[in-house]
Amino acid sequence: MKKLIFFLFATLLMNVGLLAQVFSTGTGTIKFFSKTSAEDIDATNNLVKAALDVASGNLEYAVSVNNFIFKKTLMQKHFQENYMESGKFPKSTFKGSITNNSSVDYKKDGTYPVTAKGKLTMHGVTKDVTVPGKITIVGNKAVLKADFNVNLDDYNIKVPANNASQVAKTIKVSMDCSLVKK
Amino acid sequence: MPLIFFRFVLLLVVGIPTTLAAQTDTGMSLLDDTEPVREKVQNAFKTSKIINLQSMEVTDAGVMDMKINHRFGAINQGAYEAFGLDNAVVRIGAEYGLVRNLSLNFGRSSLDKLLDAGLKYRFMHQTTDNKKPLSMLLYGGWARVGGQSVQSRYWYTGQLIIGRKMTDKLSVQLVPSVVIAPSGQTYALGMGFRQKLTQRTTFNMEYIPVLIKPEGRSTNNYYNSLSVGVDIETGGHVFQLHFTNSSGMAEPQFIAQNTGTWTKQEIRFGFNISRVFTVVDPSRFK
Repeated sequence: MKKLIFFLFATLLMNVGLLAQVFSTGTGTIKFFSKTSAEDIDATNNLVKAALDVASGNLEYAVSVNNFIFKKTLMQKHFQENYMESGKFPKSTFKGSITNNSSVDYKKDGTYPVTAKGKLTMHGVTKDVTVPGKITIVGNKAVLKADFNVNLDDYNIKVPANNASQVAKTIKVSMDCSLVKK
Repeated sequence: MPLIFFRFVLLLVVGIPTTLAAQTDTGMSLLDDTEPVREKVQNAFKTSKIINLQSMEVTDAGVMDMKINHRFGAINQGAYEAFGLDNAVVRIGAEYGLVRNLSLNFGRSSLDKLLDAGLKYRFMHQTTDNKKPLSMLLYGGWARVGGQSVQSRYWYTGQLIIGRKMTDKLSVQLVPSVVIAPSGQTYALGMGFRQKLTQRTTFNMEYIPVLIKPEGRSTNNYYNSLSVGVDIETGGHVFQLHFTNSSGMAEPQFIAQNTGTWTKQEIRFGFNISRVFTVVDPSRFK
């Protein structure tokens, strides 16, 4: 009888524990770089939303396009208005999962190489992407880092001919999000 | 019996959380990201003027916007005057964003040797979720007419700018205005819109009917300002090309003392060139 009750509570606690294992943040960072011989452009977004479900490895990101801050406000306006059309497409998202989630021990501090696979949506275009990255577990935090390239043509982002020398065709994106256990 | 009971409880305890977990797996809603985006509406107009009229845009903080404006002669002057192209009045000026939502502008016009300055302040900024459906700004201007024996030397302008970006392409504005001079006050209701043609070009139009004239002014001297044109944006420049019946480019001139009329082809070709320079890193104002 006592054994049964103990088993009962143990099962209950395990389930609650699993349920609570969502790491999330609203203040992650995504930077991007455009490098050409004529001009280097970079922008930073410090209000990236991200969530990771430990049990399934499901991973989601949401980014408000207008929260990317540039060094020149005119560039920021052009980015919003002419390139990303943020009025029509205010958000960019990633929805997918970590393919090798079982190889990450979320209870043990350390750095684990991972691969995220899923759908990246921006400028109204959704593409399947596979992105290699790293998860670093420090206490109740999971720091997700990844670098990847975005090809503007893939997302139907057009650069006019007279700006072609200033805006790179491939944009380097760098992501650094510190997720906290909920 | 007790065993069955415990199995039942076990099923409940184990089963319910599992179903819940399954829902979060398939529901694609790990992120609490359902609330509508609330951001300030940007880029209602390409620059701080529709054509002559102040637009609902304020020069960004730390940014200098150089303005070089030309109005040629009236096209009814004929071929001898190259349909007005032989004559031009010029206004050279600049605007500077002092802080967020507040800009200072100044300029010098060849017409009337007029020196002008003004402050523009946005006290309401339209938001994407329509909690604030409009942008509202105040504009206060000062102008000094140069030269000797001038009737009205100093002019003041007050404007309330009410604007809304209706869609990505269409922005509209109402601008109740008063122009004050020693000779009297002129009340007018400016109206204007822009319609985007392509990503980098827009069609603009503005009309500024005078509602109340200063006492004693003849009805025949002055006409309401009407202008149509296009904005062309190329990198750091905005080129505004237009046809207008106003030769003056400061508020006292095109609102209160506009002598041209469209019906007698007293229309002129004109252009505004706007070039912005980032003077102070924008992150210092955030």
